[in-house]
Amino acid sequence: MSEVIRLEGLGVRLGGRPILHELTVRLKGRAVGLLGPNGAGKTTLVHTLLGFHAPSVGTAQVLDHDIRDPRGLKAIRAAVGYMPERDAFLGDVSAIRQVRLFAELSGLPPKAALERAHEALIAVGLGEARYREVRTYSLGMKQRAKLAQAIAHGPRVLFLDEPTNGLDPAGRARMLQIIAEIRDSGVTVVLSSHLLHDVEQVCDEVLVLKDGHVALHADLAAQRQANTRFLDVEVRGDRPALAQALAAGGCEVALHGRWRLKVVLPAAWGMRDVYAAAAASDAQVRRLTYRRHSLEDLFLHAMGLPTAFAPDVEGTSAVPQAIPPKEAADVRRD
Amino acid sequence: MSAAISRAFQPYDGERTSSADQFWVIPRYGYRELFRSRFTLILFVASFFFPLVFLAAIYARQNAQVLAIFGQQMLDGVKIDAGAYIVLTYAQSWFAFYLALWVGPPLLGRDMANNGLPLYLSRPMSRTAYIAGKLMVLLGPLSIVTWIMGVFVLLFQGSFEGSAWLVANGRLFMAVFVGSWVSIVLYSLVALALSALLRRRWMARGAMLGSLFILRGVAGIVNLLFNAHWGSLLSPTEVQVTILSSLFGQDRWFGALNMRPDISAGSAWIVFGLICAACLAVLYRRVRAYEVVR
Repeated sequence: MSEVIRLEGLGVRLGGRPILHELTVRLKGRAVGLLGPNGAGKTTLVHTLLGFHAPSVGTAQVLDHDIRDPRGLKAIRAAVGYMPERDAFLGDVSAIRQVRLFAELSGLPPKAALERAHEALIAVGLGEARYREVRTYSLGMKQRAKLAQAIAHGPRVLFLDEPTNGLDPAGRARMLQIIAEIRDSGVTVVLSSHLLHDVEQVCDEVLVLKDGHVALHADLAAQRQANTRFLDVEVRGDRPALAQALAAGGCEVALHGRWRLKVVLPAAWGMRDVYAAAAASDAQVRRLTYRRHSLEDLFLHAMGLPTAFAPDVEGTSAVPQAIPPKEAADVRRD
Repeated sequence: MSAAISRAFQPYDGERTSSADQFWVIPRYGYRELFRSRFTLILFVASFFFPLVFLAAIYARQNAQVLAIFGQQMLDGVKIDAGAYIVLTYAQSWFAFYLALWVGPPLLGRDMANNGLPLYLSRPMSRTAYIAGKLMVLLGPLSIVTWIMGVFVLLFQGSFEGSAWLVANGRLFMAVFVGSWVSIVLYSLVALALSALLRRRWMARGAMLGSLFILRGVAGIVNLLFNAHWGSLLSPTEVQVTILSSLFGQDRWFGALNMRPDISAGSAWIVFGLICAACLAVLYRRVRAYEVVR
């Protein structure tokens, strides 16, 4: 997959204060989640990629266009759509007129812009209300009008800054569904949010920022795949023998609690093999569950906060990520 | 438009316009918006009054039938000379002021009050292009009201008087053209800067009126207090009148309007430049895609 966004030591200072610290990362997902607590630098990063802020150090490329090059910046802006976080609309102007104006400003001929404005407003569910002035819209409708102006000109990359802010659960679900549809149509979505659920639902790659630094860059799709091979097994009988048998077969194993084992299965292993190993070790499998690392776990881990698997939460010695064989061996020796 | 409209989002791979075409989008929408207001239309039409009177007078003086009806003596009283063009230019600059006062303040304020700037500035256009586009919305109608009408009346008269008259009155052409542009640029930039600064249209209009009348009063008080003339530099209208009078010739100006500026043309041009620079600085400071939170 080709890279959509490339950050190369990108640093940004605003008012003399460093906001982004030499970020280096390559984003190539279909939908990239920008996560981080308030003030982490998410919006600054999006603004910098749009050319609103000049980098103080390093650079970045969007669709292979450099943000430091004025021509590149123009090409970036022609190829992206942007939905700002705050309310943004033109006073006394109907939605159709507003969306058409911005489509024309992005380079569409007037006739095509009008046609695309109708399509975009219908696609976001504002078909019936498209002749109303945007200022008369409810919050949810205003959010969708912002989305419509961001997609009307057919961008290749869509920057969405907190698109579900202030929406009720139904409105939020609808917004996420629309974003997923846009993503599936081939547009790369960059979703900046502090709502983990939104990112988890839409994105396949995540960049977590903390105090302007990259705290985590993860391929969520691969992570989800990996999570299906992460087992939590409750056993009776000879637990150390089962742990040894599993480790000998290439599994990563950790003992945890009084009865339980945490196991990361290698690619060749299936459930049947676990049961077979248990039978051979004289251990009874009482319960076997997939443990999924949620995005919340990853986020909290990246923030240096205790996760749901942490001892102080569950009273166990579980570790949140796959246990390397050496550590598993240490546990076994205990 | 196609009969059936797609419900799902579709990528666009059709034709794209050039940068020049994209620049004219803001003025085009601006003009359309402008004449949706009935008051703008009335003001605009009213501004044609003096030029039409001038055209009628020029025509009447050259038409044998009209001469026969009104008599040569009566029409001799209606002289269309340099003094008349000074009155026309001055009168039209007032129409330009009121048009700028009405049209200018909402231009930026409406976008800024509703956080619309990020929507504009995330497009392939610079801040300069945005400001220039908004400026064009004012420059177009103000040009029609001032120098286009003035030059048209001059050419109309020249068509009757002959080329020798046109050559002899070359300075009038220059004075009408340059003087009108001084008014246009001054009013447009002040209107946009106040619009960007205050955002609310009525506040900006109030401030623009204030900059005309209050500063004129302040200038008078300063002159009185210090028994000087330099106080007039504080008044944009005094500055404008000084520049206009220097363009037309001060004696002619005084003869036509009985107004004698008391500051030098050079200092007036410098203050004019400073006012324009200050307005541009305000515009560049305020027109940003994001709010600076301190």
